[in-house]
Amino acid sequence: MKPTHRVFCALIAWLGLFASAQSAGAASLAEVMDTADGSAAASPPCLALPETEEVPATLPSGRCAGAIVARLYLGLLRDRDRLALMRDGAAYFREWLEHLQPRLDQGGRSPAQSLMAEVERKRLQRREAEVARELRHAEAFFVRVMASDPKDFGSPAVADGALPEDETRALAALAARDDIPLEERAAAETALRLAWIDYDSAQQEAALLGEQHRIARQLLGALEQQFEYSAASFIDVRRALVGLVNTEEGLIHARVRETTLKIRILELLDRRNAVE
Amino acid sequence: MVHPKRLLAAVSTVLAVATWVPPAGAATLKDLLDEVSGDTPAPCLETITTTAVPVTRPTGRCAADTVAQLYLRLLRDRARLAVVRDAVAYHRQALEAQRSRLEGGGSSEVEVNKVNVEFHRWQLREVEVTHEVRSAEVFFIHVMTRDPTEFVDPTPDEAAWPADEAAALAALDARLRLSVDERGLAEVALQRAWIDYESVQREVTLLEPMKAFAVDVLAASERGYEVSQVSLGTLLDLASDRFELEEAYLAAGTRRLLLQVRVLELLGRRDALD
Repeated sequence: MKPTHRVFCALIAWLGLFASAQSAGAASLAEVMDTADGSAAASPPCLALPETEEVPATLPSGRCAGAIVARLYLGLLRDRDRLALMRDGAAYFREWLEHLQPRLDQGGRSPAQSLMAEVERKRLQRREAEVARELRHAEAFFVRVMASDPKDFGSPAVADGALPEDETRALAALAARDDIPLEERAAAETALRLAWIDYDSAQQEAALLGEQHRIARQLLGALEQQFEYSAASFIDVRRALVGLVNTEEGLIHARVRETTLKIRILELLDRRNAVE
Repeated sequence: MVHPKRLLAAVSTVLAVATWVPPAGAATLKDLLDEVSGDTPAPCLETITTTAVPVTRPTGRCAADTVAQLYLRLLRDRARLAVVRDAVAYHRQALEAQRSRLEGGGSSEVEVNKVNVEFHRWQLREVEVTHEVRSAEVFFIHVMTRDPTEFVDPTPDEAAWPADEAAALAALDARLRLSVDERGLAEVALQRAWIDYESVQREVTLLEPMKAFAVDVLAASERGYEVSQVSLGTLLDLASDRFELEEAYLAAGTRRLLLQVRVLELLGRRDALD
């Protein structure tokens, strides 16, 4: 039995599509941001996003409204995938329990192995409950406060060429904006520099996590095989699976952060039209 | 066609970026704190937990505490970066050794992958810490117009440090500038800082020998691994411990310094940071 390959394939396919997928519904990210901004859409850019990602009880206002809603929108998509991941992980351990049971009945395996699988399953179910709670709060916000249907939400795409190639070009594009008051130019420039550093770092993290994920999957697959002929312990398999789930969760976070920062940079450059 | 106003703005920004040079000379923590809050500031009564780097110069009575946190965090992250780079180098070497063993028939793909996962984990940590350092440097260069390469760890004057909590509270009581309304709040802030300081002091005392032991245990385990007495999994766990304890020690040392600054600020004794 090799549940790994089946369980994690769907999510990986989605991760590959994240950058290019497009919602067909009436609730695209750009539309939701426009709704949040209202008539303030043409105001100077948001210079500092609030640190907290707490879901607000009312419609955000001010110049950071669009950016706050964008973060919540992408956070909701991220949490849906985290939820699927936790469910897949818990299902994996349930399958292991079923797999181990006949051998336990025949006395071929230690009962400690099934207990370990059960503990891990419960641990993932706890994380699942936590993510489900966050997701429900975000969905309630969009339904009640934004009057939009989160079922229609989809991963945003960015028009080719809209994102500057490097930080220098981004700073030049910011300097070309003539709607930023003189006294805010320095702060806007710092905000852009920080966003660029964040974006750069998120890209590197996503690339490293992608590679780490590939190795972690390979490792788990090999250990599952070794377990069959007792060359690996269940502790090894459990550890590899926990590592795989954590890497995959990290990858989901990094990819969404990359998209969030891409949008943050486009907002600073007044290029929301490039978000499709 | 580009609007002349836009062109002018673009050129002036590029020129400003290209020609700006941070002021020369050491930028001590005290210099920066004086700059943001003046010589006789009212104490900050809130607990500062800054995680984001500000895009403008902090203002108000907690400006000094915010800047102190960013300053000390930058120094800590630079030191952490060195530790994390050591960890990356260690795992790179371990990976190469494991691949050589594989070629010689003394290892398996599973073992190579185990090391490779750890190697990637530390590379990721390097990206994270580099990101922290770069963000803080942007703040000091572009917002505070200071050269962060000149930053140095402050060494608070021992004579200015209260002997215990009671002495600290008595010193606070003697601060004339505090209004009656604020005295109670300042006392609570000082007591909290003192509790945190004592706790982190204990943490530093415990971590110091732990990190030394971890280095010795790892070295012994490496020898054990060579004669098949220690498994690869155990060796990797011990390598993690060794570098993570080093990071934890740096973090605790910085927290202790930050709390010392906090207590001295509450007592109006910034001069002790010189």
